[in-house]
Amino acid sequence: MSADRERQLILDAQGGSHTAFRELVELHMRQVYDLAYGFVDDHDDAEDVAQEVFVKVYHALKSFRRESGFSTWLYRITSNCALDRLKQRKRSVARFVPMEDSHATRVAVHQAANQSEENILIERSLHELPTLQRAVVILRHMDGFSTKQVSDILKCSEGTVKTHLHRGLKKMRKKLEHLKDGTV
Amino acid sequence: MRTHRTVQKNLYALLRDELSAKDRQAIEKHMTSCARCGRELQSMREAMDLFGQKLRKPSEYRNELYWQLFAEKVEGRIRLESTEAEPQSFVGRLVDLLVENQKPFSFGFVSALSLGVVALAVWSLWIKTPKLDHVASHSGSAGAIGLHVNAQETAVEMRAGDYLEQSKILLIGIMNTDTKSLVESKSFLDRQREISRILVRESQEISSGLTDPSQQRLRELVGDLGLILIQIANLESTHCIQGVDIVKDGVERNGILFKVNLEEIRRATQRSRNKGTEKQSTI
Repeated sequence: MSADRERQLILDAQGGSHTAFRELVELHMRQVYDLAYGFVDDHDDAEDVAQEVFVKVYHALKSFRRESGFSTWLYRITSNCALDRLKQRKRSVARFVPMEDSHATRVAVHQAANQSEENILIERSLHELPTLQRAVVILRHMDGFSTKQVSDILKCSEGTVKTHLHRGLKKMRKKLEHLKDGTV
Repeated sequence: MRTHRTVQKNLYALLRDELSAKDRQAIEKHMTSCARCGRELQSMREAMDLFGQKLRKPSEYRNELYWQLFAEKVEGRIRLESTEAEPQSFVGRLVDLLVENQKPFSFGFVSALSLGVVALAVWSLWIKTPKLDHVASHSGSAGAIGLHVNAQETAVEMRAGDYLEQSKILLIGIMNTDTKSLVESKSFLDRQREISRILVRESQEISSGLTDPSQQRLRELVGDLGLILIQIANLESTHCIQGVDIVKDGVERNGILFKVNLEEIRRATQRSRNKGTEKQSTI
């Protein structure tokens, strides 16, 4: 979709058009979900966060002034919501003992979906990265955002983005080798 | 002279060809005399090749239907928030949904629907008095749906109750309207589809919350209704007459409305029993 079309959709949605808002949701829902997942590392939470993001966008859209790009604004809201979710989770983890190993569950789900062993290991290496590194790898490497865009979304310097990306990919590679060797 | 750290931070951009000519030259110059950074470059290239091909986006684990319903879910949540902010009865909400942006046809339909609801309420009151004991006497067996005597209604059961009520109204509307006039009003049918989609989402969430074995029958009913609602949500504008007939047939054949009524009676009985127990314990 062209930038002009997106601009028009934003204007229409700001004017109260539900159809335009819906189109905006459909345009960005997958990337918002991917980024949310990058933080929360759980499909149910990612769904909830992604929905929450668009509800917030719906209420805040009229105040959006287009000083930053819409995507940057949207993904910044996503990272804030996802970080809030992580804080909530930390609080509840302190109160409750987890019932099952989330990695074991995820691997089982993936195996059920007939994924190759290597893909499962690659994903596991991604999920084991620290939160911010994982978000940078997803945004920069998987979603193809520029360093500047990622730094705007995550509110950190471009240098930090570059460092996290470099370290993240290196760690993933190392982790993958360990996993393949069966040492972990 | 560039430091190793600066060079290594820019290897990703170098491999993606995103650097300016000046930065690129500076890094390449550094590489000619630095084996350590050369190894890093090779390592980064391998990592990018490996993860670029194999990494699957989290959103790809969700199927197409999920993404088709995603915007509905968001809209449902926005609607839910606004109704929470301004409390309104479920009938009011449903009437709003039906009336909003509709043609005059809706007015007639809503009137008919209201009459239907009133008739149903009268019928429920009539049937409740003589049958209560009968239903209660079967409460330990498989006679009623999702029975658990002396148990307080849980949040998910309350939600299921709202869902059954709203679905019932939608189905009564469809069952009591002539198929041809239903199909002719495209905007009305669009609205029915939209409501059904919201209810389908609701049914999925409720089903996952009804985990107690005593809630099995309620879960089955929510699931059966969900299947009918999916059919309504997926009605196509072409072949719509057949689609509506299939829906009507499914509702009749499976006795869906009868089961919903039975469940409502059970819930009413349960509530009055709970009230009685509370009173006794207070005394």
